[in-house]
Amino acid sequence: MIDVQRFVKRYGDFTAVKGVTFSVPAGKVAALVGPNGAGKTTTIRSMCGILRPTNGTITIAGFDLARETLQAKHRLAYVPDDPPLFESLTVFEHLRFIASSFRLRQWESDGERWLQLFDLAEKRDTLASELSRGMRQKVAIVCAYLRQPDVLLLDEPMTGLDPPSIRHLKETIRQQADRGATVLLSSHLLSLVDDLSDHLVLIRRGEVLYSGDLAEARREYGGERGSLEDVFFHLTGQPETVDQES
Amino acid sequence: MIHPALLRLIGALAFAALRKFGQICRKPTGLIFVVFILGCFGFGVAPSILIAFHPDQSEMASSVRRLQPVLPIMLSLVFFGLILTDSGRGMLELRPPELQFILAGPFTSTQILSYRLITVALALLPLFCVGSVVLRPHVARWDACLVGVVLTFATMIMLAFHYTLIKPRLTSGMIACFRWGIITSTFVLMLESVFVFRQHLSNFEFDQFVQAIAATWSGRILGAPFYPFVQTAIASDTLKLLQYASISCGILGLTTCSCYLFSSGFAELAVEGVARRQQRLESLRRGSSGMAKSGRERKARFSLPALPYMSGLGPVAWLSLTSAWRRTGKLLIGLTIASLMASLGLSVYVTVFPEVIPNVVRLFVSWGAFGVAAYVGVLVAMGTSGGLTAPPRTLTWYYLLPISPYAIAIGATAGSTATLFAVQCVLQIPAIALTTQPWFDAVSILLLGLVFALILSSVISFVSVTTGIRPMPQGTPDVFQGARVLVFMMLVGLALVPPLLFAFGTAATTAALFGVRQAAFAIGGAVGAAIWLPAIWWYSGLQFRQRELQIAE
Repeated sequence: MIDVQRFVKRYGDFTAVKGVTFSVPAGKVAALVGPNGAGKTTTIRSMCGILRPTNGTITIAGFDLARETLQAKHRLAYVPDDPPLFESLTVFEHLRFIASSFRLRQWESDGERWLQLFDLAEKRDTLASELSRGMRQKVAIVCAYLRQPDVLLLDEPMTGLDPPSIRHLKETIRQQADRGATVLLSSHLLSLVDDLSDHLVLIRRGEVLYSGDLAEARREYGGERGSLEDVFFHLTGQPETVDQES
Repeated sequence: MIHPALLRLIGALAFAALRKFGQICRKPTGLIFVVFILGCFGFGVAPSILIAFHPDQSEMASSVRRLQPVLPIMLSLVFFGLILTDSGRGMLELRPPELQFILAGPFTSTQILSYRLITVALALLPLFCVGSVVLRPHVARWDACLVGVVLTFATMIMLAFHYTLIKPRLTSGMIACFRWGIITSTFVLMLESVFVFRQHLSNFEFDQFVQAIAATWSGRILGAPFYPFVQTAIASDTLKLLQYASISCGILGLTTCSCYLFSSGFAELAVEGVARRQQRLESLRRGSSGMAKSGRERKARFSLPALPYMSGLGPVAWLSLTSAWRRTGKLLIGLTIASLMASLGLSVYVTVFPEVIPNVVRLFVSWGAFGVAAYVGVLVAMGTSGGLTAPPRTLTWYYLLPISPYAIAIGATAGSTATLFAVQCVLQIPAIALTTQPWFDAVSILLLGLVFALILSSVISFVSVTTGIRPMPQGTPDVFQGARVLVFMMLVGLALVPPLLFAFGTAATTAALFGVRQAAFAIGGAVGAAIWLPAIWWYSGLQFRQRELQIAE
């Protein structure tokens, strides 16, 4: 599970995240949504240890990220937006590196299966510098899945993917949650994460506007259609702004 | 010739550059950076200015003036280099926003070419002015030098542009003929120069030798196109200046007109250039080295064997070694084979002809090889960005590993250390074959070289992780990249001072205790330098854990 308590992140005088509190239970897929500049990426990067919180605590699978960093990282996988790869390593060598760093055993057959599923089998020995944006995204996703993490953080994972890959990704995200993993998914493509998520964390200008069950949010704020998009606009109040301007 | 909108754009871009400079100067760190760069620049130009105003300047600068007869040939060779490396193509490249606003705008190829030429001229003019100041002590008049330098390099750039513009109209056979013609003429020049050198060997006079090269057939032909330009730059009286400047202007004018005549394909070439640049920028933003993708998909079927875990050091070192292997592995294997063959050849040579190489050279050759290897090592280490010197985006991987930051700091230096080890071995093994020192002494100098390699790669990581500056330019290229590299080199130099001073101290102490012999000095120095390694790794790890990654969106 993920538990974020009073998380604050400041860059000098600018406060990017203002005391955010939310939690996502195990086995759930949570959508982390919000307008541009809401603090989604800052939150996700802090949750995986790239950024350090100015204040507050982040608990990953029961381990405090600040105090039990290595244990937390062992249970966490992160797929960034436009993931960087080591350009002189092949696709399979990325899997090998992950396997040796996380001390995985008998991972080869799993690795081959994931490569097959994401149409990367032919690119097994291709250097990462030769891969397209979508392919790089898929390699990063496979590296994350290979570890079977307890917590999976995905930042705009569908950007650059072709329709079959998006379908595979959605299916596999659901599978990860079904085996008990907590998935936090940040995306602007509300329609794509709508049918996938069962939990919602909506933030704006560094503050949580809603955190809880998505079905409940739909009932309460979704209007007639009950879509995530309607929930988003209702809670962020953006249509009203447009109305006022018009 | 040029659209008024494009002129306005040039003005706006120049103003934006000044505004950015002003913004940088307003921040304390930016101001320190600018002062440092101006200081470096001042130190670079100051000697020329001092010599220019020194009463004995003619004596002080005479060594360079003696090269004047061969300057036209040297300029021709520079031009050949531009042609062989297809540099005109790079100079024609527009930036990605220019694709949208200029290439797709209502402008003709001629207007876009004019825009490109003006922007290139504006960018290079300050450089030419500085160049003319640097050259001032070696010429009679500064104004003549400035005119000469501007006309020379403007013509050279226009010729390179011209070659790029007409290249699509040439068949591959014609291009090959042209390139082979350049190579052959250079080779003929070299042969004639060697012949002249042999003639002057018995009673060598540098001035006569230089003049003899300039008087060779190939020298006269190759030097002819740039002769008026050099005469313009070194002209001592106004009449001579006007005479040669007119001829040079005529050549430049003809080349420029010819460029405009063939400018119809410029837009296509510029679009190709934008695509290449876009690809490089995307690669840089992803955290790669900025190399454009090759046409053929590159694969690698051989992998280095996995290393034992060793608290996480093994996987990180494996990653670093694999990256280094893919970057420089083949080159280093080739150099190692060449080094072993050279060692074998030298061993046989000094056995058969023991008197040819002076004893004093053979006695200290290992130290010479160590010095050269250390210098080459610094250049190689600065030119490769691996381990913790990788771009911030790539470092994301290291942040996510459940491995102690200290193990990461040690493991990440493995790749560059291995490369520097190889450089030391390649240069020192032939020296071991040549030296008259006992084997143990020579090998101990190699050991010192290996420790220096380890210290250097660790210090480079240390500076990167502590300051956030990288040895290789990172992110979207800007005008301050070169300056950042200079700052980085200065910081590495400063960081190397304590270990090297300590190493000198321990070397001297060891030599005093165990007798003044080279082995004692080398081993003492190696131990003294190596003592610092745990501290460097520990602090690098600490900084790596505490410092946040600044990843550009």
